[in-house]
Amino acid sequence: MTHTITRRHFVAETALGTLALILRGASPVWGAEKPKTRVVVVRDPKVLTETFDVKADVIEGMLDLGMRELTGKKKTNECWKTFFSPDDVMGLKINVMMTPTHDELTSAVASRLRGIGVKDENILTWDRGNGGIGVKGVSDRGVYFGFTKESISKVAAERATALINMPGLKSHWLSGVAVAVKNWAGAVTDINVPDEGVAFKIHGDSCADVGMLNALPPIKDKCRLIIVDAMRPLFHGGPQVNPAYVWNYGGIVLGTDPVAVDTVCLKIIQGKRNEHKGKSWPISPPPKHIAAAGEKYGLGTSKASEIEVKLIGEEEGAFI
Amino acid sequence: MSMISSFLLLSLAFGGGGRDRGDEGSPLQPLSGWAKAAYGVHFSADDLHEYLNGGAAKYLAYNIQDLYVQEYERVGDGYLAVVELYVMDSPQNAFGVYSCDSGGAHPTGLGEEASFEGGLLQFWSGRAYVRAYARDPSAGKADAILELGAALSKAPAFEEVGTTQGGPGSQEAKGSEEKAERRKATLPAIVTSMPADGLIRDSICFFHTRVSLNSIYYLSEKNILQLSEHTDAVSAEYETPSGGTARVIAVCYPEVGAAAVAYEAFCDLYMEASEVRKRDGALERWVRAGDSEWLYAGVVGGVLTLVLEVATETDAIDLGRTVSRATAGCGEED
Repeated sequence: MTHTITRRHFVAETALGTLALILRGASPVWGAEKPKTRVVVVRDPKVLTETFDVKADVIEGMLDLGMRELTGKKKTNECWKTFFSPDDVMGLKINVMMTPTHDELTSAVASRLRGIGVKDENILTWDRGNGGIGVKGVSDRGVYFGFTKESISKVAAERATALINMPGLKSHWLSGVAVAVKNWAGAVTDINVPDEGVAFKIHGDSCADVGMLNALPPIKDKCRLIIVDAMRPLFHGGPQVNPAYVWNYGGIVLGTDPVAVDTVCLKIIQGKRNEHKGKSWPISPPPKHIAAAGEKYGLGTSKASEIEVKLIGEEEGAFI
Repeated sequence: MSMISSFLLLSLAFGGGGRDRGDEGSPLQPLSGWAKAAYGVHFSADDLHEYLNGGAAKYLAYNIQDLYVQEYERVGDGYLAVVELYVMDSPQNAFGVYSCDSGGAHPTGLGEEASFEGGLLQFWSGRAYVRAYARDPSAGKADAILELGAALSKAPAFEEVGTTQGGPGSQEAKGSEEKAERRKATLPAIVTSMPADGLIRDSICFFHTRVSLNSIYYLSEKNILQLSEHTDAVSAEYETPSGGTARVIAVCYPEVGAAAVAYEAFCDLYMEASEVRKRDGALERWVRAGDSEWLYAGVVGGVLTLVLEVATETDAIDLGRTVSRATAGCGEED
């Protein structure tokens, strides 16, 4: 052996990117000279009704505010043209199980894409093998898209020219948390938890290598935007939901760097856990896949010094 | 739309796996005051992932046999609720799944033990672990879920999987002393042996495998505690005399030698050799870890006891030895 470590070393409250470095015994290097990646959090307590339904007009407004802050553009269409063109075939990778992406958010995204001229038939909303086409297809998801012989979603691999990653926000008993990086597990097939006879071995060591899916060329090259549905996140357990651990965060999180987005989302969940317990309540297992996605697969950064977080809206209970 | 409701719609829309059992073979039949609504499916261990995705692994770690899901409609007002009935291979494993997620209020008269929090009712009875919740969580009427659970626990069709002979909730164990005796006879020895003094309620979690442990309390990506389906383990939290809390992990091995191997692996990973304190002639070590925490590891008989995140050396040793003494006999055959 080595060195004595405690679980509190696994989760640093602010500098989550040091996780991997601490595990290897290195000292974190702070203040690196590098452009920061921006992550925008937009919160509005009015986005959810008393029956937890999403108000479409409120979420549209939140989306517009978030995109302006993310892109620095003033007009809505200009924001979306920063990433997409009318000729794009769009794949919206939502999450339909456990902590699903709300249809109202996906509809707002589809509407904004239509606003810049993307054709209705070129908007594909999907998770796993199934989904829908067009604005109507956001909620009417009866189309089977399927997978390639390489076990990758045909939407990602063959049909889309651009992807938007739209996960929910949840803790996860296998990986610690499941947000942007892990959402691509729903874009492949031939996987199982024991990683036996699979196309992608992603579950070992608390899913540390799930970033390999983000690094697949069809996904890495095409995913231009991440919009996390953080309206009703899960902060303990998961993916199966115990409603005692769901709360109204009322937010969305936007960014272009999946590692940075996940780092910020991890902070939100960890903050809620600590508040719930009244003391530090580290996520278990530690979400190793976030830092690994950056360091091993070059997908982004989890270093606090390289992430600029912008909060719009409700500050109390933001945990960032 | 609630996230739980989205489950059901997914399964309905995509045929989400499972087989519609209808009235054939399912323990979930019409109940007193409740009619079966449209949605009812069955999953085996092999296709459980179609309902729970990666969450299926949690139940597979406890050797789940079947999952029955049924939507119910209350007679008179049409209130909709969902019952998930997880049939495990043993009452011990039904308890295990329940123990790791229980919390909140503890209604009595529902199975062996029950908890109700956030609108989710959970209870275990015999080989059955049950989750029941409103179809629309914003609909309120928490009492309706408790009614449903009570009706289910008394239903004849439920008895096949939901009865623990002479168990704590049975007619045969009415008095508190008798109930305690029956609980001791039903639950794993490592659980019933844990000292009660200072034990934080709802903190006991019974498990077997490394994957389960890592979701409770992460130790290592390697199986340093030599956990398997044959090991009975418990995680629990205790209040300590110094005013803080401590985490205890106790593992009962089928072979005494395995406990010693796990002990050495844990000490090698977590205890700096130069700083270790130990008791000569015993498998027992402790060390300061970080600024304000102590770790303790000890083996007595076939049981490994770990005490973690405890504030003082005295608390670490005292709690470790108390748990070791209490659990020492759990791996011994009668």
